[in-house]
Amino acid sequence: MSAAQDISWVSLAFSLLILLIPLAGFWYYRVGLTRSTLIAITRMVIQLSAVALYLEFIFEQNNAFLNSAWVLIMILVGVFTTLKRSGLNHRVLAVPLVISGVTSIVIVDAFFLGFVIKLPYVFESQYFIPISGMILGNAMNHNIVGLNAYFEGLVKNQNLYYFLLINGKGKKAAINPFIVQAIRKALNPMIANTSVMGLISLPGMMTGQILGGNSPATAIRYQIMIMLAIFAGCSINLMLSIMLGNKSAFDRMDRIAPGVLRTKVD
Amino acid sequence: MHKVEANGIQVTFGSKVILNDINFAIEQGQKVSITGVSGRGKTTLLRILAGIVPPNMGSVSFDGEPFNRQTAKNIRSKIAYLPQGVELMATNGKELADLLSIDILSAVTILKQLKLEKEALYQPFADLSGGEKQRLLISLILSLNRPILLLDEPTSALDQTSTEVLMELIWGREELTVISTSHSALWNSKCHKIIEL
Repeated sequence: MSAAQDISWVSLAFSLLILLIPLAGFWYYRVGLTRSTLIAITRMVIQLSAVALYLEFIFEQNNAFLNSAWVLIMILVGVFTTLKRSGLNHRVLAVPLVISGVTSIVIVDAFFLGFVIKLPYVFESQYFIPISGMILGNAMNHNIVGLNAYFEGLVKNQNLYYFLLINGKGKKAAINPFIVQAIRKALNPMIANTSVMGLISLPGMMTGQILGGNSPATAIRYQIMIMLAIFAGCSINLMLSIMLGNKSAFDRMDRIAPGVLRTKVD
Repeated sequence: MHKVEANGIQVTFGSKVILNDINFAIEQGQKVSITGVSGRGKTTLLRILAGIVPPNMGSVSFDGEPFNRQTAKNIRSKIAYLPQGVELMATNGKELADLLSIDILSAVTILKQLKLEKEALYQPFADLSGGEKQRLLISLILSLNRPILLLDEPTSALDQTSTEVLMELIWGREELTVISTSHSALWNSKCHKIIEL
Protein backbone atom coordinates (compact mmCIF):
# COMPACT_ATOMS: atom_id res chain seq x y z
CA MET A 1 0.00 0.00 0.00
CA SER A 2 1.35 3.44 -0.93
CA ALA A 3 0.62 6.72 0.83
CA ALA A 4 -2.10 8.98 -0.62
CA GLN A 5 -1.28 10.97 -3.77
CA ASP A 6 -0.76 14.57 -2.66
CA ILE A 7 -3.10 17.30 -3.99
CA SER A 8 -1.47 20.57 -4.95
CA TRP A 9 -3.06 23.91 -4.04
CA VAL A 10 -3.54 24.60 -7.76
CA SER A 11 -5.40 21.31 -8.20
CA LEU A 12 -7.48 22.05 -5.13
CA ALA A 13 -8.40 25.47 -6.54
CA PHE A 14 -9.28 23.74 -9.82
CA SER A 15 -11.66 21.42 -7.89
CA LEU A 16 -13.84 24.43 -7.03
CA LEU A 17 -14.93 24.48 -10.67
CA ILE A 18 -17.20 21.48 -9.99
CA LEU A 19 -19.40 23.87 -7.98
CA LEU A 20 -20.44 25.57 -11.19
CA ILE A 21 -22.84 22.71 -11.91
CA PRO A 22 -24.88 22.87 -8.65
CA LEU A 23 -24.74 26.68 -8.68
CA ALA A 24 -26.10 26.70 -12.25
CA GLY A 25 -28.89 24.42 -11.03
CA PHE A 26 -29.64 26.77 -8.09
CA TRP A 27 -29.76 29.71 -10.52
CA TYR A 28 -32.01 27.83 -12.97
CA TYR A 29 -34.50 26.80 -10.27
CA ARG A 30 -34.22 30.12 -8.38
CA VAL A 31 -33.43 28.17 -5.19
CA GLY A 32 -31.87 31.17 -3.47
CA LEU A 33 -28.99 29.17 -1.97
CA THR A 34 -26.15 30.58 -4.08
CA ARG A 35 -25.00 33.20 -1.57
CA SER A 36 -25.17 30.92 1.46
CA THR A 37 -23.38 28.15 -0.45
CA LEU A 38 -20.53 30.47 -1.44
CA ILE A 39 -20.23 31.81 2.13
CA ALA A 40 -20.28 28.28 3.58
CA ILE A 41 -17.60 27.04 1.19
CA THR A 42 -15.40 30.10 1.75
CA ARG A 43 -15.73 29.63 5.52
CA MET A 44 -14.94 25.94 5.20
CA VAL A 45 -11.79 26.61 3.16
CA ILE A 46 -10.55 29.32 5.55
CA GLN A 47 -11.38 27.33 8.70
CA LEU A 48 -9.80 24.12 7.46
CA SER A 49 -6.69 25.94 6.24
CA ALA A 50 -6.30 27.64 9.59
CA VAL A 51 -6.92 24.37 11.42
CA ALA A 52 -4.34 22.63 9.20
CA LEU A 53 -1.73 25.17 10.23
CA TYR A 54 -2.63 24.84 13.91
CA LEU A 55 -2.82 21.05 13.75
CA GLU A 56 0.59 20.83 12.10
CA PHE A 57 1.90 22.85 15.04
CA ILE A 58 0.21 20.78 17.75
CA PHE A 59 1.04 17.50 16.02
CA GLU A 60 4.67 18.59 16.11
CA GLN A 61 4.46 19.51 19.81
CA ASN A 62 2.37 16.45 20.74
CA ASN A 63 1.79 17.96 24.16
CA ALA A 64 -0.99 16.62 26.43
CA PHE A 65 -1.97 20.09 27.63
CA LEU A 66 -2.12 21.58 24.12
CA ASN A 67 -4.03 18.60 22.74
CA SER A 68 -6.54 18.71 25.60
CA ALA A 69 -6.95 22.46 25.15
CA TRP A 70 -7.74 21.90 21.46
CA VAL A 71 -10.35 19.26 22.31
CA LEU A 72 -11.82 21.59 24.92
CA ILE A 73 -12.14 24.31 22.26
CA MET A 74 -13.93 21.79 20.01
CA ILE A 75 -16.30 21.00 22.91
CA LEU A 76 -17.03 24.67 23.55
CA VAL A 77 -17.67 25.43 19.88
CA GLY A 78 -19.92 22.34 19.70
CA VAL A 79 -21.89 23.38 22.79
CA PHE A 80 -22.50 26.94 21.63
CA THR A 81 -23.44 25.78 18.14
CA THR A 82 -25.84 23.26 19.69
CA LEU A 83 -27.43 25.92 21.89
CA LYS A 84 -27.75 28.33 18.99
CA ARG A 85 -29.18 25.79 16.55
CA SER A 86 -31.58 24.23 19.03
CA GLY A 87 -32.90 27.58 20.29
CA LEU A 88 -31.87 26.93 23.90
CA ASN A 89 -30.74 29.47 26.46
CA HIS A 90 -26.97 29.71 27.02
CA ARG A 91 -27.39 30.93 30.58
CA VAL A 92 -29.47 27.92 31.60
CA LEU A 93 -27.81 25.12 29.66
CA ALA A 94 -24.22 26.02 28.67
CA VAL A 95 -22.56 24.66 31.83
CA PRO A 96 -24.45 21.31 31.86
CA LEU A 97 -23.67 20.80 28.17
CA VAL A 98 -19.95 21.55 28.59
CA ILE A 99 -19.76 19.10 31.52
CA SER A 100 -21.57 16.47 29.43
CA GLY A 101 -19.23 17.02 26.47
CA VAL A 102 -16.09 16.74 28.60
CA THR A 103 -17.38 13.69 30.50
CA SER A 104 -18.42 11.79 27.37
CA ILE A 105 -15.06 12.47 25.68
CA VAL A 106 -13.09 11.41 28.76
CA ILE A 107 -15.06 8.13 29.02
CA VAL A 108 -14.98 7.23 25.33
CA ASP A 109 -11.38 8.33 24.64
CA ALA A 110 -10.06 6.62 27.75
CA PHE A 111 -11.87 3.41 26.79
CA PHE A 112 -10.95 3.29 23.11
CA LEU A 113 -7.49 4.90 23.13
CA GLY A 114 -6.37 3.39 26.43
CA PHE A 115 -8.00 -0.02 26.48
CA VAL A 116 -8.88 -0.87 22.87
CA ILE A 117 -6.01 0.59 20.82
CA LYS A 118 -3.78 0.37 23.94
CA LEU A 119 -1.84 3.53 23.19
CA PRO A 120 1.10 4.02 25.57
CA TYR A 121 0.27 7.74 25.52
CA VAL A 122 -3.49 8.42 25.22
CA PHE A 123 -2.97 12.10 24.35
CA GLU A 124 -1.08 11.11 21.18
CA SER A 125 -2.28 13.85 18.85
CA GLN A 126 -2.50 11.57 15.80
CA TYR A 127 -5.27 9.60 17.58
CA PHE A 128 -6.62 11.82 20.34
CA ILE A 129 -7.55 14.81 18.17
CA PRO A 130 -9.17 13.18 15.10
CA ILE A 131 -11.09 10.59 17.12
CA SER A 132 -12.32 13.20 19.62
CA GLY A 133 -13.25 15.43 16.68
CA MET A 134 -15.29 12.73 14.99
CA ILE A 135 -17.14 11.95 18.22
CA LEU A 136 -17.80 15.62 19.00
CA GLY A 137 -18.91 16.49 15.47
CA ASN A 138 -21.46 13.70 15.50
CA ALA A 139 -22.51 14.40 19.08
CA MET A 140 -23.23 18.01 18.19
CA ASN A 141 -25.57 17.01 15.37
CA HIS A 142 -27.44 14.53 17.55
CA ASN A 143 -27.58 16.92 20.50
CA ILE A 144 -29.14 19.62 18.33
CA VAL A 145 -31.97 17.27 17.39
CA GLY A 146 -32.34 15.59 20.78
CA LEU A 147 -32.10 18.64 23.04
CA ASN A 148 -34.39 20.67 20.84
CA ALA A 149 -36.96 17.85 20.83
CA TYR A 150 -36.71 17.48 24.61
CA PHE A 151 -36.75 21.07 25.85
CA GLU A 152 -39.02 22.50 23.17
CA GLY A 153 -41.33 19.50 23.66
CA LEU A 154 -41.48 20.20 27.39
CA VAL A 155 -42.16 23.91 26.99
CA LYS A 156 -44.65 23.60 24.15
CA ASN A 157 -46.44 20.66 25.71
CA GLN A 158 -46.16 21.78 29.31
CA ASN A 159 -49.82 20.99 29.98
CA LEU A 160 -48.97 17.33 29.50
CA TYR A 161 -45.89 17.62 31.72
CA TYR A 162 -47.91 19.18 34.56
CA PHE A 163 -50.74 16.70 34.01
CA LEU A 164 -48.23 13.85 34.49
CA LEU A 165 -46.37 15.63 37.31
CA ILE A 166 -49.43 16.26 39.46
CA ASN A 167 -51.48 13.16 38.67
CA GLY A 168 -48.56 10.77 38.41
CA LYS A 169 -45.57 9.82 40.46
CA GLY A 170 -43.49 12.99 40.36
CA LYS A 171 -41.04 14.70 38.06
CA LYS A 172 -38.97 11.66 37.08
CA ALA A 173 -42.04 9.88 35.73
CA ALA A 174 -43.46 13.06 34.18
CA ILE A 175 -40.35 13.85 32.12
CA ASN A 176 -39.75 10.27 31.03
CA PRO A 177 -42.03 10.30 27.93
CA PHE A 178 -40.32 13.51 26.78
CA ILE A 179 -36.87 11.97 27.26
CA VAL A 180 -37.85 8.80 25.40
CA GLN A 181 -39.19 10.83 22.49
CA ALA A 182 -36.08 13.02 22.31
CA ILE A 183 -33.59 10.14 22.47
CA ARG A 184 -35.50 8.22 19.81
CA LYS A 185 -35.66 11.22 17.53
CA ALA A 186 -31.94 11.94 17.93
CA LEU A 187 -30.50 8.45 17.80
CA ASN A 188 -32.82 6.60 15.40
CA PRO A 189 -31.11 8.03 12.29
CA MET A 190 -27.71 6.96 13.63
CA ILE A 191 -28.99 3.45 14.36
CA ALA A 192 -30.39 3.27 10.81
CA ASN A 193 -27.09 4.58 9.42
CA THR A 194 -25.11 2.05 11.44
CA SER A 195 -27.22 -0.83 10.16
CA VAL A 196 -26.48 0.01 6.51
CA MET A 197 -22.83 0.94 7.04
CA GLY A 198 -20.79 -0.32 4.10
CA LEU A 199 -23.90 -1.02 2.01
CA ILE A 200 -25.28 2.41 1.16
CA SER A 201 -23.21 4.76 3.30
CA LEU A 202 -19.51 5.29 2.73
CA PRO A 203 -17.51 5.04 5.93
CA GLY A 204 -15.39 8.18 6.16
CA MET A 205 -12.65 6.91 8.43
CA MET A 206 -12.21 3.72 6.41
CA THR A 207 -11.85 5.73 3.21
CA GLY A 208 -9.31 7.99 4.90
CA GLN A 209 -7.29 5.02 6.16
CA ILE A 210 -7.22 3.33 2.75
CA LEU A 211 -6.23 6.60 1.06
CA GLY A 212 -3.55 6.98 3.73
CA GLY A 213 -2.02 3.64 2.68
CA ASN A 214 -3.41 1.24 5.29
CA SER A 215 -4.76 -2.20 4.40
CA PRO A 216 -8.56 -2.59 4.08
CA ALA A 217 -8.53 -5.02 7.03
CA THR A 218 -6.97 -2.41 9.34
CA ALA A 219 -9.23 0.27 7.87
CA ILE A 220 -12.33 -1.82 8.64
CA ARG A 221 -11.25 -2.47 12.23
CA TYR A 222 -10.74 1.26 12.74
CA GLN A 223 -14.08 1.97 11.10
CA ILE A 224 -15.90 -0.44 13.41
CA MET A 225 -14.12 1.07 16.40
CA ILE A 226 -14.95 4.63 15.42
CA MET A 227 -18.60 3.70 14.81
CA LEU A 228 -18.78 2.24 18.32
CA ALA A 229 -17.00 5.30 19.74
CA ILE A 230 -19.37 7.67 17.94
CA PHE A 231 -22.46 5.74 19.00
CA ALA A 232 -21.33 5.54 22.63
CA GLY A 233 -20.09 9.15 22.66
CA CYS A 234 -23.28 10.59 21.17
CA SER A 235 -25.57 8.54 23.42
CA ILE A 236 -23.63 9.34 26.59
CA ASN A 237 -23.38 13.01 25.67
CA LEU A 238 -27.09 13.37 24.89
CA MET A 239 -28.32 11.48 27.95
CA LEU A 240 -25.92 13.34 30.25
CA SER A 241 -26.91 16.68 28.69
CA ILE A 242 -30.56 15.95 29.42
CA MET A 243 -29.79 14.68 32.91
CA LEU A 244 -27.59 17.64 33.87
CA GLY A 245 -29.71 20.12 31.92
CA ASN A 246 -32.70 19.07 34.01
CA LYS A 247 -30.95 20.39 37.13
CA SER A 248 -31.16 23.94 35.82
CA ALA A 249 -34.26 23.61 33.62
CA PHE A 250 -36.60 23.12 36.59
CA ASP A 251 -37.05 25.03 39.81
CA ARG A 252 -37.26 23.44 43.25
CA MET A 253 -41.00 22.91 42.88
CA ASP A 254 -40.39 20.99 39.62
CA ARG A 255 -41.79 23.81 37.51
CA ILE A 256 -40.19 24.41 34.12
CA ALA A 257 -37.82 27.33 34.65
CA PRO A 258 -38.65 30.44 32.64
CA GLY A 259 -36.23 31.13 29.80
CA VAL A 260 -35.18 27.57 28.96
CA LEU A 261 -35.83 28.40 25.33
CA ARG A 262 -34.09 31.42 23.86
CA THR A 263 -37.08 32.15 21.68
CA LYS A 264 -40.57 32.44 23.10
CA VAL A 265 -42.87 29.59 22.15
CA ASP A 266 -46.50 30.45 21.41
CA MET B 1 -61.28 18.01 56.58
CA HIS B 2 -59.55 19.50 53.58
CA LYS B 3 -59.47 23.23 53.18
CA VAL B 4 -58.09 25.33 50.33
CA GLU B 5 -57.29 28.99 50.97
CA ALA B 6 -55.98 31.82 48.83
CA ASN B 7 -54.72 34.99 50.47
CA GLY B 8 -54.02 38.20 48.57
CA ILE B 9 -53.06 36.52 45.30
CA GLN B 10 -51.61 38.89 42.76
CA VAL B 11 -50.19 38.00 39.35
CA THR B 12 -48.71 40.37 36.81
CA PHE B 13 -47.33 39.62 33.36
CA GLY B 14 -45.04 42.53 32.56
CA SER B 15 -47.00 45.65 33.41
CA LYS B 16 -50.37 43.92 33.02
CA VAL B 17 -52.12 42.91 36.25
CA ILE B 18 -53.82 39.57 35.65
CA LEU B 19 -55.05 38.82 39.16
CA ASN B 20 -55.31 41.34 41.96
CA ASP B 21 -55.90 40.61 45.63
CA ILE B 22 -57.75 37.32 45.24
CA ASN B 23 -58.97 35.83 48.51
CA PHE B 24 -61.13 32.80 49.17
CA ALA B 25 -61.56 29.77 51.39
CA ILE B 26 -62.98 26.49 50.11
CA GLU B 27 -64.20 23.80 52.49
CA GLN B 28 -64.06 20.08 51.84
CA GLY B 29 -66.84 18.86 49.55
CA GLN B 30 -67.55 22.23 48.00
CA LYS B 31 -67.90 22.45 44.24
CA VAL B 32 -66.51 25.80 43.14
CA SER B 33 -66.35 27.50 39.76
CA ILE B 34 -63.99 30.29 38.77
CA THR B 35 -65.77 32.44 36.20
CA GLY B 36 -65.09 35.51 34.13
CA VAL B 37 -64.58 36.52 30.54
CA SER B 38 -61.57 35.24 28.59
CA GLY B 39 -58.24 36.70 29.64
CA ARG B 40 -59.27 37.43 33.24
CA GLY B 41 -56.89 34.80 34.64
CA LYS B 42 -59.17 31.81 35.36
CA THR B 43 -56.66 29.27 34.09
CA THR B 44 -53.80 31.16 35.76
CA LEU B 45 -55.59 30.99 39.12
CA LEU B 46 -56.12 27.25 38.69
CA ARG B 47 -52.43 26.86 37.79
CA ILE B 48 -51.49 28.78 40.95
CA LEU B 49 -53.62 26.36 42.99
CA ALA B 50 -51.80 23.46 41.28
CA GLY B 51 -48.45 25.03 42.17
CA ILE B 52 -47.49 25.53 38.52
CA VAL B 53 -47.44 29.32 38.45
CA PRO B 54 -45.93 31.24 41.37
CA PRO B 55 -47.98 34.31 42.31
CA ASN B 56 -46.14 37.65 42.48
CA MET B 57 -47.80 38.29 45.82
CA GLY B 58 -49.95 36.31 48.22
CA SER B 59 -50.10 32.63 49.00
CA VAL B 60 -52.13 29.47 48.65
CA SER B 61 -52.52 26.92 51.40
CA PHE B 62 -53.99 23.46 51.65
CA ASP B 63 -55.16 22.36 55.09
CA GLY B 64 -53.26 25.30 56.56
CA GLU B 65 -50.01 24.28 54.83
CA PRO B 66 -48.63 26.97 52.52
CA PHE B 67 -47.75 25.73 49.01
CA ASN B 68 -43.96 25.93 48.81
CA ARG B 69 -41.05 23.71 47.90
CA GLN B 70 -41.10 21.87 51.20
CA THR B 71 -44.79 21.06 50.99
CA ALA B 72 -45.26 20.77 47.20
CA LYS B 73 -44.96 16.99 47.04
CA ASN B 74 -47.37 16.41 49.88
CA ILE B 75 -49.93 18.93 48.62
CA ARG B 76 -49.76 17.63 45.04
CA SER B 77 -50.46 14.13 46.31
CA LYS B 78 -53.90 15.41 47.39
CA ILE B 79 -54.69 17.01 44.03
CA ALA B 80 -55.84 15.65 40.71
CA TYR B 81 -55.46 18.16 37.88
CA LEU B 82 -56.95 18.29 34.40
CA PRO B 83 -55.58 21.13 32.27
CA GLN B 84 -57.07 22.14 28.95
CA GLY B 85 -55.65 20.86 25.68
CA VAL B 86 -53.38 18.12 26.95
CA GLU B 87 -51.58 16.83 23.88
CA LEU B 88 -51.08 13.25 24.75
CA MET B 89 -47.92 11.41 23.86
CA ALA B 90 -49.51 8.14 24.92
CA THR B 91 -51.33 6.22 22.20
CA ASN B 92 -54.45 5.42 24.19
CA GLY B 93 -56.10 5.64 27.59
CA LYS B 94 -54.62 2.36 28.78
CA GLU B 95 -51.09 3.58 28.09
CA LEU B 96 -51.84 6.84 29.92
CA ALA B 97 -53.38 4.92 32.83
CA ASP B 98 -50.19 2.84 33.07
CA LEU B 99 -48.10 6.03 33.09
CA LEU B 100 -50.16 7.32 36.00
CA SER B 101 -50.26 3.92 37.75
CA ILE B 102 -54.06 3.93 37.66
CA ASP B 103 -56.06 0.85 38.55
CA ILE B 104 -57.78 -0.13 35.28
CA LEU B 105 -60.78 -1.76 36.98
CA SER B 106 -61.55 1.43 38.84
CA ALA B 107 -61.14 3.48 35.63
CA VAL B 108 -63.49 1.15 33.74
CA THR B 109 -66.15 1.51 36.45
CA ILE B 110 -66.05 5.29 36.17
CA LEU B 111 -65.94 5.13 32.37
CA LYS B 112 -69.20 3.18 32.44
CA GLN B 113 -70.76 5.71 34.80
CA LEU B 114 -69.85 8.35 32.20
CA LYS B 115 -71.55 6.23 29.50
CA LEU B 116 -68.36 5.13 27.82
CA GLU B 117 -67.46 1.53 27.03
CA LYS B 118 -64.33 -0.16 28.31
CA GLU B 119 -63.07 -0.30 24.71
CA ALA B 120 -62.60 3.50 24.79
CA LEU B 121 -59.55 2.88 26.97
CA TYR B 122 -57.87 0.92 24.20
CA GLN B 123 -58.91 3.10 21.25
CA PRO B 124 -56.26 5.46 19.86
CA PHE B 125 -56.87 9.01 21.10
CA ALA B 126 -57.01 10.14 17.48
CA ASP B 127 -60.12 7.99 16.97
CA LEU B 128 -62.02 9.47 19.94
CA SER B 129 -64.24 12.53 19.65
CA GLY B 130 -63.45 15.59 21.79
CA GLY B 131 -66.23 14.69 24.23
CA GLU B 132 -65.14 11.05 24.51
CA LYS B 133 -61.54 12.08 25.12
CA GLN B 134 -62.63 14.56 27.80
CA ARG B 135 -64.77 11.96 29.59
CA LEU B 136 -61.94 9.42 29.36
CA LEU B 137 -59.43 11.86 30.92
CA ILE B 138 -61.89 12.78 33.68
CA SER B 139 -62.51 9.13 34.47
CA LEU B 140 -58.76 8.54 34.69
CA ILE B 141 -58.16 11.36 37.12
CA LEU B 142 -61.24 10.45 39.17
CA SER B 143 -59.73 6.95 39.47
CA LEU B 144 -56.80 8.48 41.32
CA ASN B 145 -59.14 9.02 44.27
CA ARG B 146 -57.53 12.30 45.28
CA PRO B 147 -59.61 14.49 47.61
CA ILE B 148 -59.25 17.71 45.57
CA LEU B 149 -59.96 18.06 41.85
CA LEU B 150 -58.73 21.01 39.80
CA LEU B 151 -60.54 21.02 36.44
CA ASP B 152 -59.91 23.51 33.64
CA GLU B 153 -63.06 23.71 31.49
CA PRO B 154 -64.15 20.12 32.18
CA THR B 155 -67.32 20.43 30.10
CA SER B 156 -65.95 22.37 27.11
CA ALA B 157 -66.38 19.42 24.70
CA LEU B 158 -69.47 17.89 26.34
CA ASP B 159 -73.09 18.17 25.24
CA GLN B 160 -75.81 18.85 27.82
CA THR B 161 -76.57 15.16 28.47
CA SER B 162 -72.90 14.28 29.01
CA THR B 163 -72.51 17.35 31.24
CA GLU B 164 -75.47 16.22 33.37
CA VAL B 165 -74.04 12.68 33.65
CA LEU B 166 -70.64 14.06 34.70
CA MET B 167 -72.23 16.41 37.23
CA GLU B 168 -74.29 13.60 38.72
CA LEU B 169 -71.11 11.59 39.22
CA ILE B 170 -69.07 14.46 40.67
CA TRP B 171 -71.82 15.95 42.85
CA GLY B 172 -72.55 12.41 44.05
CA ARG B 173 -69.11 12.36 45.67
CA GLU B 174 -69.99 14.61 48.56
CA GLU B 175 -66.55 14.55 50.18
CA LEU B 176 -64.81 15.54 46.93
CA THR B 177 -63.67 19.16 46.65
CA VAL B 178 -63.81 20.47 43.08
CA ILE B 179 -62.35 23.75 41.87
CA SER B 180 -63.05 24.37 38.21
CA THR B 181 -63.17 26.97 35.52
CA SER B 182 -66.28 26.69 33.39
CA HIS B 183 -68.39 28.58 30.91
CA SER B 184 -71.26 26.11 31.37
CA ALA B 185 -74.31 27.80 32.91
CA LEU B 186 -75.59 24.42 34.06
CA TRP B 187 -72.32 23.54 35.80
CA ASN B 188 -72.01 26.97 37.39
CA SER B 189 -75.65 26.99 38.56
CA LYS B 190 -75.03 23.92 40.74
CA CYS B 191 -71.75 25.10 42.26
CA HIS B 192 -71.65 25.95 45.96
CA LYS B 193 -69.45 28.92 45.30
CA ILE B 194 -68.58 31.12 42.34
CA ILE B 195 -65.31 33.04 42.26
CA GLU B 196 -65.92 35.84 39.80
CA LEU B 197 -62.80 37.38 38.27
